[in-house]
Amino acid sequence: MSAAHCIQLDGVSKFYGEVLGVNRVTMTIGPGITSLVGPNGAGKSTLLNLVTGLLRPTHGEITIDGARLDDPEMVHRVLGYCTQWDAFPRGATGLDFIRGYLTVHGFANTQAETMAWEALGRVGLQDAARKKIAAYSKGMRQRVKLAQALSHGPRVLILDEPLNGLDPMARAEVIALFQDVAAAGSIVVISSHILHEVDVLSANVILMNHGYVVAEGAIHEVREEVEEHPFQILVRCDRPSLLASRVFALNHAVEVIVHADGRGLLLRTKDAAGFFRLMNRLTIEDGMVVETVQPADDDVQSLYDYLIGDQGERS
Amino acid sequence: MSLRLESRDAARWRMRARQTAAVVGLELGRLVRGRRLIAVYLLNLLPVLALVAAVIVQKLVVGRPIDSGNLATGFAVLFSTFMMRCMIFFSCVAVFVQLLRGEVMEKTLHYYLLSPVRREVVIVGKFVVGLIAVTVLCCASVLASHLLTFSRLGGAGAGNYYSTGPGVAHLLSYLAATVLACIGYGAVFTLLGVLLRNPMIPALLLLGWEGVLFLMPQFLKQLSVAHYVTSLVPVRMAAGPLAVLAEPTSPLTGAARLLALALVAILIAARQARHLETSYATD
Repeated sequence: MSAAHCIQLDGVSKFYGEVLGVNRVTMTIGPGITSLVGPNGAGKSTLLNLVTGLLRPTHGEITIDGARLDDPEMVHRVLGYCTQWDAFPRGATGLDFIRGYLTVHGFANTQAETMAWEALGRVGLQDAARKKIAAYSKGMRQRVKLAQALSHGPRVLILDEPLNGLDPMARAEVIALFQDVAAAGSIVVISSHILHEVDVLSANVILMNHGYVVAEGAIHEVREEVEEHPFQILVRCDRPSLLASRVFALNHAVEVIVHADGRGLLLRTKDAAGFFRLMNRLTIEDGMVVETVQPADDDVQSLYDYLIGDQGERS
Repeated sequence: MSLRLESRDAARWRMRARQTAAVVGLELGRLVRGRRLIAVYLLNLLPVLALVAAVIVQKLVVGRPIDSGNLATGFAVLFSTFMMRCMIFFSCVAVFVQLLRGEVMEKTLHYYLLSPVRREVVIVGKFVVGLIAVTVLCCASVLASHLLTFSRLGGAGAGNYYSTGPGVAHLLSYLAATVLACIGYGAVFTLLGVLLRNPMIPALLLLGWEGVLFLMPQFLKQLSVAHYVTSLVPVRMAAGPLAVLAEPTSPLTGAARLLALALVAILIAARQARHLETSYATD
C-alpha cells in the first residue's frame, strides 16, 4: 500500500430512509489521536460505523490507506474497532473470545493464543482470561473489547466511548495505551463524551452536531477560527492591576477580572496575539514578573460550548 | 509473473479455506454450548419416544409381531408427514434462520464483519455448521426411529428385514432423503435469514405451500424442497383423490436438482451478505 497512512472521507452521507445520519463529510484523518465529540444523535457512532464498514455510505466514498472499505480482506487487517455495544458471544471466556476471532483472521491456533494473551496483558486482564465474560464487571468487559480490537496489531484504531465504565486508574492506563499506539504511528479515533479527558487524549478534534461536522482539526487552530467568542487567557503575575490597566487601553479587550489574591487575572480579548505582544513589552520594559500564562478556553470543552452549546445534550 | 499471480491466488484461497474452518470451529462450539439446539433436540426426540412407547405397548399388550409391509407403510407416513413436514423443517428453521439473525439479536455479528474475512466465507462457514448440526440430529432420529419401527417385527424378523430384506436399502434411502432435506431447507432458510429481518413468516408460507403441493401442477411442484426429497423416499404413499399427478422424478435427478437449487440459494445469500449493514438500532 503506497497511499498515505490516513482515513479519507469524501462527500460521505448516510441516510436511514429519510432520516439523516451524517451529511457531506469530507475530511482526512492522519496518524495520532483524533477525538470525536458531539451531543447524542450528532452522528458520531454512525460516522465510526461508516469508517469501519459496518454501514455503507448513501453517498461518497471512504478509503483507509487508499483501500476501499468493500475489500475486507485488505482493510480489516489494518483496522481495529472497539464498538459501543456491550455484547459478546454467549458463554465465551475472555481468552476464547479474542483467540476465536483471531483464528477467523487466519492466524493459526497457537499464534492466535499467543496474540490473545498479549492483548489481554495490554489491558491488564490476563488473570481473568479464563473467566466467562458474563461474569466480568462493566470495566472488564470494556477492557476485553479493547483487547479484541487491539489483538491483531491494527494501524487504525477506532474507539467508540472506550473509557465508559472504567475506574480512574484503568482510565489512566487505557489513555496511556492509546498514546502508545498513536506514538507508534497509528491512527486512533476516539469518540468520547468526557470532554476533559478528550483534552488529555488528543490535540485534534472533530466536532459533530445534527449529522454535520461542525469543526475539525487541531484544537488550537479550531479555537482561533471561532472569532465571535473572545479568547480567554489566564495570567498569574506580580502586577495584575498594571496589566489590566494597559489591557483596557487596547481596543480588543472585552473583560478583565483580577483575581481576589491580587496575583493574577482572567482576560477576555478578541486579539490574543496583540495581548501577548503587550505582555512581552510589560515584561521587558516594566519588569513585570509573569508566573504562568495559559489559554482558559483553548480546549474541547470550550469549543463544544461555543460551537454546539445548548443545541444538544452533551454525550 | 503469471506464476507469482497464481501463487498469490492460491495463498488467498488457502487463507479463505483456513478462515472457513475457523468460522466452522467457532460456530460449532457456540451451537453446542448455546441454547439454540434445545428445541431441536426435543423435536428430534419426539418420534423416538413415540416409537419406544409403541414398542412397549406392542410387547405388553399385542404380544405378536406386526407385518413388515404395514410397518414400511407406517414408517413412510411417519417420515413424510411428521419427520419431513415438522421435525426436519422446524429443526432447519430453528438453526439456519438463527445463524445470522441470532447474531443480530445478540449484537455480536459485527465481530465477524470487522474481521478481514470475506462475508461469503462467514455465510458458507455458518451454513456448514448448521448443516452438520441438523444433519447429525435428524439422521440420528431417523435411524433410531427406523430401527425401533422394525424391531416390532421381532428379533428374527427384524434381523431378516435388515440382512436379506430391503431394510438397509430403505434405511439408506431415508437417511439420504434426510440429508437432502437438511441441505435444501438449510439453504432456503439461510437465504431468508440474510434477506429478511423476520424470516419466520416466509418460512411458514413455505410450510403451507409444501402442504398443498399435491394440488399443484408439475412445474409448480418443482418450486419446493419436499418434491425433490420425496423422489428418494423408497415407499410411496397414495397421493389422494384431489392430487394432481405428475411424472415421478428419478432419485438422482431429484437429488441433483435440489443440490443445484441449494447451491444457488447459498450463492445468493453469500452475495447478499456483502451488502449487510450492522447498526443493530433498527434490527
